[in-house]
Amino acid sequence: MSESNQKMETFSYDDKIVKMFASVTLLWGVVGMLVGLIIASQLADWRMNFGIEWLTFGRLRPLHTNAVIFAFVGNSIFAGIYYSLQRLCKARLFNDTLSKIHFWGWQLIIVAAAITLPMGYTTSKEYAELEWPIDIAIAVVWVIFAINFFGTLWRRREKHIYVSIWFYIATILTVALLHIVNSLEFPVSLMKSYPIFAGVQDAMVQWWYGHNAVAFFLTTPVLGLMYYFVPKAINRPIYSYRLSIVHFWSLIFIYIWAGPHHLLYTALPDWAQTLGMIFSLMLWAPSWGGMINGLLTLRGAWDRVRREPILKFFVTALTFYGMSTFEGPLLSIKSVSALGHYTDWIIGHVHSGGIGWNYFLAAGITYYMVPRLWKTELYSVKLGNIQFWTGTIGLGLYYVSMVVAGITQGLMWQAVDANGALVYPDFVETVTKILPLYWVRLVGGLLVFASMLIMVYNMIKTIRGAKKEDQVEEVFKAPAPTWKSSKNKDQDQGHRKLEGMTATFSVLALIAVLVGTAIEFIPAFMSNNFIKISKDVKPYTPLELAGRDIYIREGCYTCHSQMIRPMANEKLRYGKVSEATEFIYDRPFQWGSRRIGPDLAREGGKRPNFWHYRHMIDPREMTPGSIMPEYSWLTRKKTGYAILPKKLKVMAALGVPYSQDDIDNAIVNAKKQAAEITKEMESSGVEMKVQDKQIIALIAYLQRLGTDLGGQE
Amino acid sequence: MDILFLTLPLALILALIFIGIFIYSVKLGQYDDLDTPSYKMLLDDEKDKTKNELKGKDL
Amino acid sequence: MASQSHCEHCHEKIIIPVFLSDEESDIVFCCEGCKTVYEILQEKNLTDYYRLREQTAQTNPTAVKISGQKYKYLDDPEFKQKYTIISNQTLQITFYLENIHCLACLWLIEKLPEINHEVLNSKLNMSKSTVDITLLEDAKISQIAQQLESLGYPPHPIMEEKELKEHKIKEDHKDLIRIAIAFFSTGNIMLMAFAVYAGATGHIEKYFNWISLFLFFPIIFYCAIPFYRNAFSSLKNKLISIDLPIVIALLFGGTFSLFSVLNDDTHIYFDSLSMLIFLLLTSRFLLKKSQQKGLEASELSNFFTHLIAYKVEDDQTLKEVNAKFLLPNDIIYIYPGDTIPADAQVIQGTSKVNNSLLTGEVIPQPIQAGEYIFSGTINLDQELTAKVIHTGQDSKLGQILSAVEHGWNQKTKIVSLTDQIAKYFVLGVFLLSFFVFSYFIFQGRIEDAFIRTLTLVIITCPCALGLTTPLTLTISLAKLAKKGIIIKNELVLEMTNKIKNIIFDKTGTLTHGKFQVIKWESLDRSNYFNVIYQLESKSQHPIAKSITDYLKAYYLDEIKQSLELTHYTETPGIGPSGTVHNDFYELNQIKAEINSNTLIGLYKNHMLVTKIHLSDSLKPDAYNIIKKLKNLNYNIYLLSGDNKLSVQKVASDLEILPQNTFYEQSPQDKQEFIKKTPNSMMLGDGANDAIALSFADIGVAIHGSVDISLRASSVFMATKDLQNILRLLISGKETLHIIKRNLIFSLLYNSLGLILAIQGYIDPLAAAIIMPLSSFTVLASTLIGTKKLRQNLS
Repeated sequence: MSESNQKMETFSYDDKIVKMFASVTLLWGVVGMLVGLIIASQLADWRMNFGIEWLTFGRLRPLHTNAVIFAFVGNSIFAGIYYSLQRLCKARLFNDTLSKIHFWGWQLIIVAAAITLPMGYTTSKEYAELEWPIDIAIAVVWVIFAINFFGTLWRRREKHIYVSIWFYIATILTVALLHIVNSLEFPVSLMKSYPIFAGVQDAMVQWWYGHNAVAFFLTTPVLGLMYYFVPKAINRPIYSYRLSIVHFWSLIFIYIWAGPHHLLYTALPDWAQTLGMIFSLMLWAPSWGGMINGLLTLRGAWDRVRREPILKFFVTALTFYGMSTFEGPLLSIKSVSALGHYTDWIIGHVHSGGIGWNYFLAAGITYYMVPRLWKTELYSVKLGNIQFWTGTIGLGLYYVSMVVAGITQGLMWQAVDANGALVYPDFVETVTKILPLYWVRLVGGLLVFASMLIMVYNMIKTIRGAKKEDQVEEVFKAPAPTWKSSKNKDQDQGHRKLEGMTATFSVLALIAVLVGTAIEFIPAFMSNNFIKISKDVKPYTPLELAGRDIYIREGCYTCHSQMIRPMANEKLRYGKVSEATEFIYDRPFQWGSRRIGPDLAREGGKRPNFWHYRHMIDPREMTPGSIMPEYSWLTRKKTGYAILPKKLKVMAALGVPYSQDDIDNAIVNAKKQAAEITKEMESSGVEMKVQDKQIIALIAYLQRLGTDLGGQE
Repeated sequence: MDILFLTLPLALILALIFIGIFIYSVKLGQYDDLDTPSYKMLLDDEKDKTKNELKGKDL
Repeated sequence: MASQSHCEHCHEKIIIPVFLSDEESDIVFCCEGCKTVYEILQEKNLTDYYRLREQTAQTNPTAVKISGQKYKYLDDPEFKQKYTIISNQTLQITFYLENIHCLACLWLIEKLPEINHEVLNSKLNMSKSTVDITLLEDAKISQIAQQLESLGYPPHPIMEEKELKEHKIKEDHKDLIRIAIAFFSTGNIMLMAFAVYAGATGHIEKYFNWISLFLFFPIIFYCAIPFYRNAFSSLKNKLISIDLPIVIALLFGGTFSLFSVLNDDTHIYFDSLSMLIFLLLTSRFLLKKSQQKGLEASELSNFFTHLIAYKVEDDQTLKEVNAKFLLPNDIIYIYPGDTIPADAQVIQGTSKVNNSLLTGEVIPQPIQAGEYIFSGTINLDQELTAKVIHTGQDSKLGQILSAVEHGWNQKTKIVSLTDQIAKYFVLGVFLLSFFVFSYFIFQGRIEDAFIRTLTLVIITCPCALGLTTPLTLTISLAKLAKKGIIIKNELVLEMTNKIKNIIFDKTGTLTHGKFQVIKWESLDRSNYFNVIYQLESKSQHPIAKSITDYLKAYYLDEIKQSLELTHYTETPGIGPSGTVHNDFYELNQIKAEINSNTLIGLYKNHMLVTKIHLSDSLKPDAYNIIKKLKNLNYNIYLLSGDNKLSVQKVASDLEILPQNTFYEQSPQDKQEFIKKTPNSMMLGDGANDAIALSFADIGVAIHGSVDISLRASSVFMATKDLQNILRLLISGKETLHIIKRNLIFSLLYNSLGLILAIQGYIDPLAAAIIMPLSSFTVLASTLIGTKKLRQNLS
């Protein structure tokens, strides 16, 4: 059989890296969900942090979000991308060592996060809480991943770039930009930094990143995986390949406008909110394009869905993707957001996407890849189905309890009786009402966690069943790429050249302008000369600044918001509506996204210092029924005075009007203010030696909140 | 809302990069045939019998 | 060996089992073709093909054994030079392949390089089911084509010049890029404009306007180039095209907005203009794509047929030459089964010729030396050498063809009508806007002048007008093509409304045109099925074929026993004969007088033992079609070259009025009849109908028509279903109705828009939104309109 004279090349896939990523996905999946369980139990019963500092909700919640997003889903998309990219390109990964650096670098970042977050080192920017050294590490590892990815793409032997690869490209490029812009921070010490934007600007950048982290880390790559693994699992082509290409490109060109729908009815200008709303409603179409395309691929194979767990996972994942991308635009309608914002409904929405779409699709691709990677049979299909049903029931419980809790709480906050008084004036009443639902959510979370454990067990048994000698890299052959070598340059005649020139001219002009505006305006932000500075808003005193950093360290923003919305009931409950000018010195902004505890925007001066002092040590003494953890260690730890001058210097560099002598005797002023506060509380039995403890600094900050524009009025 | 002075240009630059990629992919002829790829990806790769035998793996 | 009932390759029922040559395996095939394909796949170890095919539960057709002659013309240098791309010693050709439908086909076609080593690379495009094959420069294309056909995928070369193909692809790429950039600009400008409507003021509004201005650059400089080109070229030859108002609106609005941005005014219309351009580009692209699909169908229906002749050189060697280059009194040699390339006089050899092409006569006509044979007819059983008399245009076939080709591509009346209206409409709008602009300038209301004229120009862009007719026609054509009714162009669809009388040809149109056994009379109580089968299965005679089919269908097990038949001969004009167990058997046609069907007799030692009655039966749905057409009050005629008796029998069965039935009509008589009856639609299939088909207002070639009637007719029915005649007539009416409705709507819309714009009730943005809305409503009405058509089509 003489060899055909079609030029063939032989290559083999680097499946070792895929195995590593796939197995580590299981590990971080368990860890992420475990942390989720712990903080859910703490909400159901506050004693569940056993009084340990690094177990409190404020510190573990960011760990849960980062672990589940970047560790669990992150590793699973890396595994899926490396597996599908090689097979779609019929080429080995660009460079084996780069893949290894990418793998170990990413796991190192996760471990660093698992250490620093519970210790309180956080930038308090949601889904980007990691401090600046780790941010840099993330950027480096991401660049390595990009090099490895585009290198493989360049050396591909299949001319057509399949739609999944387009989704991966979009992920890599956009996440890089988002991460860099949102991590623009000025380091103060190894583990502390202040973002260069403040207040409204910081909020907008954070949620521009926040939404797009969800979009470009949790949806776009996972859609790419869906477009590869679903057809492969049922051996049937995508319903409409044309639709998938169209809905990809129609999304990308105008995507970057998302974000403001997290800030509806906040101090954001009204037009920005409306713009955010409109854009989010527009997002509904392409998302459902993706879902319908995926589900219709299964037509004719529905009977197999009954038998095979993989197909059950994919179908449910696609359905939940459709539901959460319908609920998202719904929630971004201003009037719906007025009810839903800050409540548990948002948590329901997040988890219907997170567990429903991400977890189930990750499970689907794991069930597809593991048997093929280790060249063995799946250990037990029955276990797969059991895992599916436990996970689905768990998610059902979770979602329903959260939506019910969210709407109940939202309505209770808004309830105003006939003569205009709040029906539920004290906040804790609305919390104790929904505590039973926190228990239901905990049970749901437990079931989902159990399903994760079943998967881990099933996979370990499958891997153990693999025969040693099979683990050899198989060699494949494919026709050599023809399109690159024969790049026949066709010269455009004059007319077309002119046409081409105008296109490039107009595009280049546009880039020049955009880069110009960006560079010209960055320094402008430093000096804040754009924002209307009201004379009665003054920067924080050194002690208040120290107290604010403690507020950030303890993650108070995970339960308390600092944004009074322009609605009748909020004015009644909290005081004057927050205005943008109040936050110009807030670096980072602390508007928060949840109200498990009441809003603190106008807390300053509402209660005496001594109330806060007792409340921090034992919240139930002041508000019976509260589920706030006890912060007794604040009375033992010293406020870090030494670093205060450095902090003020950095703040001044970022545009806050601290004079030089403010910076020089920052420590003296802080100590003086601390002494005054403790003096005032001495009469009610607080010893003076407590004056250099962190609790005093925190009280200084809490009492300052919202006092600039005439507090209660 | 002056952050838009920064985020909008950056966003548009990113979108322009994607337009560049789109033009390159159109010129490369990625969208001339939008039916075969969805079938092609289903075909498994062809094992190279000779090389695998060398590695002592029966195919 | 268990007789496996199905063929390994194509799962067909097995009649005469063909076994694998080498070892005693129980794999069996239905014919040689399948066996060869199986062996090729076996040899190149491509047997995964069968595994893949099982997964997608598809089967492909029996691989047919093809003679060496087919596709010979592909190796002709002139063909290679014109229709293949030759670059650095490789040669690239594109084929349209039939029966491409599943994963297994894709896999097998892309494995071609392993089956045939001359193929370097083969790339299948499943949406068009075309394959691009790269070969070594000196490879024999005909061999590849034969291989493709033997694998079950009969190829047809795509006759598209290389420059044309590359140009088409480049054009598509340009359009896609323009649409993408337009979408990018429109999307972002729209969002910024929306922010400004929602209340962004002060420096942020100024910033948005400036960014919109810069985003508008690509629209005005690049995306709108097609519109400038159309407008400019139409202006050059003093025509007004509907792109002119668009260009004016764009330039006018663009400069106006530019000035407003410069002096912080609020009249910024970048959003409406970019939206206008984006929507127009997209709708034009979709229209072109849908028409392209239509084109492809017709492009494929006239496969390039190219006749090869074998010239006898003086040193008696055979030289292969293109029929076009034959000269009078060249000596040509004609193989059995070949089409006769030119009118010639037989000088040596006797054979039978099937000249149904010319006379519509199905029964083959014996030919001896000295008699005349005509180009286009088929030589049946023995070789012939003949001297060429006429070739090309002046051959008998040529004359018929030249009589047929007359202009087909004038524009339909409706399309030319709408172009007229559009032209005057645009002229009117032009003048009106000029008048409105100057009126407001005199009034001193400068701003109103600008805004009102801009709105006026945008809203009255006659896209709905320009879009409707081509779109409706294309969609109807596409729908009919899907049903197997391939129409040459829109003119035909429009003509269907004027049809009054319908003329049917008998053989092949109303009847199967194939003889079927209706009675089997055995005179001495023993039937000779097996003998007859052995005799008839060797002859190519159409009657022989119908007899063997009948035997295969009803007496399968008798004919399966092997029967040893010796000294078989087929005497022309009489029939096949041979001896079995030393009895002499002979089949011959008995001249029948009494009724119309033909009679074949089996003589055992010259004694008649069996009589087989055959007749050309009516098509099942012929009767109710005629009835339906009658109660749609068309008058029905029957025109046939057949003898009096059979034609009258068919006429009475179908209740066609005796005075409307004509028999023994020669092609010329048919032509006269058609000329006498205006507004007539002729349905036929034989070559003798070709001229009549061409002269009828609408000539419909029925499925299975001979090639030249295909080219002569304006409609080709790709399926046997007679219902299609009804569908064709109904769809003609439907399309006209939809076009009228859309025209009225768009005129109404435009005039309403006109008034609103002048009064100033709507601003440019509203105009920019309403205008595309009108196009979409027109699009929707066309789609919905044809939905009803689709219902009664299915």
